[in-house]
Amino acid sequence: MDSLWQDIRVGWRSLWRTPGFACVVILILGLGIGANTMIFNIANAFLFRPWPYMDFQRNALIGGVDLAHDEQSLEVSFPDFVDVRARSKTFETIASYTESQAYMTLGKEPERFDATWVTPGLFAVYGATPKIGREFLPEEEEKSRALTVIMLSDRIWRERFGADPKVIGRTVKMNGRIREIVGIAPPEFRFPETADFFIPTYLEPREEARSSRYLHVVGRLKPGVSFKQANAEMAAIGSALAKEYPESDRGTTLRVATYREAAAEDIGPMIAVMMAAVGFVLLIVCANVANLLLARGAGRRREIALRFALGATRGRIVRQLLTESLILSVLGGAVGLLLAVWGRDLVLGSIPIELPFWMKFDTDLNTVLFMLGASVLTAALSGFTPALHTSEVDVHEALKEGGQHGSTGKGRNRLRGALVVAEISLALVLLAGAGLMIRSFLGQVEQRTAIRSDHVLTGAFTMPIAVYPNNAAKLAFMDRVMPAVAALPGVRTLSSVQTLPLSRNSWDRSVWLEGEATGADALRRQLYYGVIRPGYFQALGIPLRKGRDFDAHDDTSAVRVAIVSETAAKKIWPGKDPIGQRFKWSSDDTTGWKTVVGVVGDVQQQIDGKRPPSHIYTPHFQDPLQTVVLVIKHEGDAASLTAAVRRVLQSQDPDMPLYEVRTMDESIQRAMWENRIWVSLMTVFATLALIIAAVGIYGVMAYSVAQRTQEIGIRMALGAARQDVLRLVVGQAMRLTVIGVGIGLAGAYAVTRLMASVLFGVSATDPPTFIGVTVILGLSAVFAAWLPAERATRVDPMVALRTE
Amino acid sequence: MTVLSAERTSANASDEASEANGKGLLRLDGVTKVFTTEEVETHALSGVHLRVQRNEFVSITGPSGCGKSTLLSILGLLDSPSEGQYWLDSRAVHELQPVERARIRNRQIGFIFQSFNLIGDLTVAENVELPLTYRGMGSEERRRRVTQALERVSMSHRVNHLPSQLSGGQQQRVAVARALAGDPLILLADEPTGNLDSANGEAVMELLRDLHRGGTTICMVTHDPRFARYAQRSIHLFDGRVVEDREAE
Repeated sequence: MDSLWQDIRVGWRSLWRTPGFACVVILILGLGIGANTMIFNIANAFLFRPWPYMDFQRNALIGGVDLAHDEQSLEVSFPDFVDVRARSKTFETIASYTESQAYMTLGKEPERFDATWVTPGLFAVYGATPKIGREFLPEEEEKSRALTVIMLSDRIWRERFGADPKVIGRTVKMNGRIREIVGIAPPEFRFPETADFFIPTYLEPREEARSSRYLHVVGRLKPGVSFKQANAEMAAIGSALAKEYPESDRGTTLRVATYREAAAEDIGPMIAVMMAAVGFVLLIVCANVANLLLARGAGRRREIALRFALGATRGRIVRQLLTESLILSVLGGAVGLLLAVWGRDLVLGSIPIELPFWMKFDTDLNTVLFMLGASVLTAALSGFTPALHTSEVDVHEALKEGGQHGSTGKGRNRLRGALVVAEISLALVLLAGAGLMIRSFLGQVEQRTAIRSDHVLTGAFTMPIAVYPNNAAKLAFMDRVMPAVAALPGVRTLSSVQTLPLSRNSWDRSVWLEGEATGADALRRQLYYGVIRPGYFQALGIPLRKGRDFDAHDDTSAVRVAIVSETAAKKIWPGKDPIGQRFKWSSDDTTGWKTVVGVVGDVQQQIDGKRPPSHIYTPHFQDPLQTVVLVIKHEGDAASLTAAVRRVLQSQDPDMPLYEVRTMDESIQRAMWENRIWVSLMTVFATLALIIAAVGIYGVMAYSVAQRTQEIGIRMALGAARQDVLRLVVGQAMRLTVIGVGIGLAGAYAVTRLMASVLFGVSATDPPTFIGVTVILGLSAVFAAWLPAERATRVDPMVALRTE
Repeated sequence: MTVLSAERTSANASDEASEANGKGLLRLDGVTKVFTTEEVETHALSGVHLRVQRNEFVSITGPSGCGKSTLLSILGLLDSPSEGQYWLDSRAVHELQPVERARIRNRQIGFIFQSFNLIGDLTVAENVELPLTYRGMGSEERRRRVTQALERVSMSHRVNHLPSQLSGGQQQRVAVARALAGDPLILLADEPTGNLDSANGEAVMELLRDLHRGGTTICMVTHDPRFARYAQRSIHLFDGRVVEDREAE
């Protein structure tokens, strides 16, 4: 211990006396370790750290599974949920929820809030005891009672109700209905993500079809019950339900998942890609630092030889050198932690949405331990080989007065060259990965060209059932609002949809064709579903390929009609003319046949572009949904138009907020935030790798030039021209680069295939990307080698020859 | 002058006698050192026979490139002979593993170099302490020995200075203290005055003579006849061979 402490003391002092070297190495290590720590910090939030109110050993997700598409997880219908809850023996509590919105006027203007519709027992599933008041009672699952009560989140209670403990028993008007506040959720509990209000959801068996799956089911296992046991039980219940209710449940079963599994499935692939990227950065950093340590070691031959002479064993010398590497790495880790915190704040600052209550990115013990682990690993990776080489000295030669101070060993030069080759090949793999992600992202951006998003304003409102209980009421409201908005100055085209395209949301429906068998087959024909008003395609510039748009005559009294996208038409009616074709939503669809009257151009619904753009549109007149997103093609200023639309809406219903008001461009940008962050990070990491690799090439070439000063002097004395010297030095760098690029291309070909799941519209081995990054890396290598080559051309032959 | 090859038989007889009475400290038998670079063989030492008694002060002289430093490196276990045997304190040390050689260097041999070879990052005391640290000695004992060694070379007033803050003569005295601190069997000095001016050179030689008078065995490589005269025995090398071995005048 005493000698270890001495190693640390001596190592620290040695580094202190070479501050330039130490600072450069610490900064490089800081960048590498910092990048890794930052990505770990993100992964940590999902996969490792505790979540508030979450017992990972007992809290479970219960989801329906479509057996035909094994991985596809489904929500559960209310009747199925009730059966599951009644039949399960392995769970202490089972509850369900669905995310929704609450519209209320707490201040001057009506507002939209996030709300969660829950069944009684949900709070108990998470051991969340209300701060004040009570949770919902079992009898409040009855519709008559469910519509009368509400719980507030702690945040809303504090911010909007002044943390008044007497708020229990007071009433609020939400979604047009008066409700009594019965409880305040415990602090931070905004389940499942950002809920401000909790409302009981209720069972209306006659109205609910078992095929209508919209509930998320969660449960708390009984003590001592394993997930395996719970899974077996749910599979049995799922099979039983499929037999009992074949019309709705055939081909489906139930499965239990842990929260960690669900998180890993959700963000795991991208985290894996990012961890691999920063892992590559760290390896490049290690190779670079190893090269710097080798160069430093060459200058310390005499000191090392002396230590040998005084009786140090090689192991002891290696230990001393590794201790110095460890000091550098730990300091680099500390810098890295600061960079990681800064980078994390930068990333969090660019997220345009409120993060779920359980998602915590603050620096915890896990993050610090990871940083320390990465530091130790980095010390070993970057320090071990240089320590071995540095400790390999010819003591007799090194201690001789006038002995060579620098190493000229071919072995050591070969090692330096090998490290640069490693840096180049790793950088190429990373550049290829970044290039593919950039191409993928640009592909997503390219999707915008399917619509004309300029001068399009969007904003949503919802017609609550309490106020608009039926289709007639909703249509009557729309008949009052839409003409008034259309008449506003600057409005060129007005329409609506329930979910904007090129967003992160979608409504899906499957179609059933005349004469088809019922059941699971329909699931395979899932389409994006849009409920629109006339003018939608015109407002967004989506071309009408065939047939006609909807018009005011397509109401409930007319034949039910639909418009399909080109891809959907080809998918559903291959080789046939889709115009005039008929379909239903399912075999038990009581609304009757829908006839296709038009075909429009494809537009991607979800920005990630994972599914083909198969769309089916129906007219809002025939299917008046509650939620309407206005799509307004306009001239002039969007802000003043927004205010005017809001005034129109509130003139018709003072409690109705207009929310999510954005231009179409803003909406698309917002939908792309997640990919934009990942691509930005990947680009930063790849740029970092490129710079560090270029610095590595520069370092080796500068060292080589310094070593070969005399040789260059002789060459110049013998008549070598400037371009000969340039060719000599740059040629040496190019040989290393070519080897590195060759290995890197092979590595990239193997590694980027693992990224396929996070790429859109680009192959994992996209040749243009591979060629592009090779050119970028090659040019960087030439530039890095050019500087020392230039210096070499300025060698004075006389001075060089005198140095011997 | 005695040419050893002619006298080997009688010398061997005399050495065996000295080893038998416990005075023999080191013995080289037919030591040869060949360096091979780029397929060219260089014979740095050729069949060297040498005996050094305890408490002897031996100077090794000869022209540049004659093998003086190579001989000292082999004596100090910094290098191994290509052929021949080396016995130190009655133990064959020419074929030992690196770890054992390091142990012997640390415990039985003290080095003094021409360029002092103090570590610039360490203080005077830490430089002297360094070989004791490699020995795994306790800190209390290390401190005691460092103090003693520095007192012997009159440098105890500079314990916390860095080498760069000392004159050349002072640095060499610290190097001597470092060599002495481990209480070695033999001090090996390679041109200890080579980087010093005349006055400091004399002072260091006086120090070595005092140490010798106190019972220390010293082998010193020097090219300067003035300093060779401090030794009681002088060995002259030429082309890697011992060509003269005589008592000093």
